[in-house]
Amino acid sequence: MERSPITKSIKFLSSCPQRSTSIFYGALFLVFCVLIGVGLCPDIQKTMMRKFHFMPRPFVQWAMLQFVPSMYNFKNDFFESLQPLPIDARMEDRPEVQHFTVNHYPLRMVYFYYSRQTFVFPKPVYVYIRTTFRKQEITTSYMMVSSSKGIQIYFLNAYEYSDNK
Amino acid sequence: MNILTTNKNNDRYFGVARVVVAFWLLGWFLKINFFSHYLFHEISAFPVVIDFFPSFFRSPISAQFFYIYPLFVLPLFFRPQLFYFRFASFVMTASSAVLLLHQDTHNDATFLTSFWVAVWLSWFVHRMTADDPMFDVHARSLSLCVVAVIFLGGFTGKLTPEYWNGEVFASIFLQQHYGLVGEWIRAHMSAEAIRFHFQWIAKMIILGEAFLVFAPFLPYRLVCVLGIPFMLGIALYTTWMIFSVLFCLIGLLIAGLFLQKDN
Repeated sequence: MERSPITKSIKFLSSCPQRSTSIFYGALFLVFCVLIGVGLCPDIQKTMMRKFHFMPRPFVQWAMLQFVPSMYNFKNDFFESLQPLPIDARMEDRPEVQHFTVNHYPLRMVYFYYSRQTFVFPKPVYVYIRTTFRKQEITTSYMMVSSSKGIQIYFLNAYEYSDNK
Repeated sequence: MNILTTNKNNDRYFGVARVVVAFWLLGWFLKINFFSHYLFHEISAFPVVIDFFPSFFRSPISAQFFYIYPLFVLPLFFRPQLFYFRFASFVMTASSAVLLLHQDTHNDATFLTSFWVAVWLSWFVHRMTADDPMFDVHARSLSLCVVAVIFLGGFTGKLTPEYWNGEVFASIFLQQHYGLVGEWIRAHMSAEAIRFHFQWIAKMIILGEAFLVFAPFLPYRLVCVLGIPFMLGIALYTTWMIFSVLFCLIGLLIAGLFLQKDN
C-alpha cells in the first residue's frame, strides 16, 4: 500500500504542489465522495436516482450529475400502457402493460433506437419508469404523443417513496 | 504554433498520447453503424421533444456536429506537434461533454468514459512540457484514479440485493436480442437455468468492479493484467458494442505501460 501509485503520487504532490494536477485529483476525489455517498447516504442515493428521471432542476444541476458515473445503477423498470394508470399501481401484474428491466436511464426505451417509427402511435401512450434502490423508490409517468412534428414526451406525475426513517 | 524541442521524453509522450487517442477514437466510432443512421436520419425524421432539455441539447445539428468533430484530431497521427495534441484534447473533451448532456445521446455511457479519458488527455498534454520529474508517476496514478472512479460508479449503484442475487442482470440478459454468445445461451438454456447461473455471474461482475475501484492502490501491471481481461469479458454478457464504453479505458491503461513507474 505504501508503494502504491496513488500514495507515491500524493507524496510527490505534497512535496512539490502543482495546480493542474491538484485540480484533477480534486475533481476525481469530489466524484469519488459523491459515489461513496451513493453507497452510504440515502439523500445522495435519492439525488442520483432522480437523475434517471430528469428531476434535478434546473438543467444545470442535472448536467453536473451527468459527469458522475452511474452505469448499471439501481433497479430500473419501464412500463408502457395505452391506458393511464395510477402511478403507484403494481404494474407487473397487468397483462396489458409492457414491462422491461433497464440498466440505466429507463426513459431512453422510447427514443434510443435505430428506428423510432415503431413508437409512432395514433393515440397517446402512457409510460411509467420506476427506479428502486434498497428502501427507496421513484416512479415518474409520462404521456407520449406522436404527430407529424415528431414525438412529444410530457411529464405527468412523480411518486417518491422512502423507508429510511 | 508551439513545437516541442526541449523535452527528451517528447517522442515517448507523443506515443502515449497517440495510444490514448487511438483507443478513444476506436471506442467513439465503434457504433458508427448505429449512430450514423440514428444521429443523421432518425433524430431529424422523428424528433423526440422532452421539455427538460434546452434547445441546444435537443438540436439534431449539435449532436451531429459533436459526433463527427473528433475526426479533426486525426492530424496528430501524422504531425507530432504539440498544437495538434492540445487541440485534440479540447475537441475530445468538448465533444464528449456535449453528447453526455444531449437529449438523444445522454444515456450512452460511451460519452461518460470518453469524457473522463479526454480530461486525462487534456491534463497530460498540458503538463508534458513542464519538465516535471514526477510527471510519469502522476500520469499513471491519475489514469488508475479515472478507471477507479468509473467503476466505483458502477459498483455502488449495484449494492442492493436485486443486483447481488443476479435478478436484474438476468432480466436484462433475457430481454436482449443481440450478442453472439448471448444469443447462443438464450437459445440453448432455459430462463430458469440462466437465472440460476446469473446468481454467480452477477457476483463476479460486482467483485470485478470492486477490484478496479482499488486500482490506484494496486501495482499498475496487476491492474492491466486482471482489469483488461475483466473489461473484455463483460462483452460476453452483453455485446461487443460495450467496447464503445470500455476501449478508451483500456487504451488509457495500455498507454500507462509506456510511462515510467518511478521518477
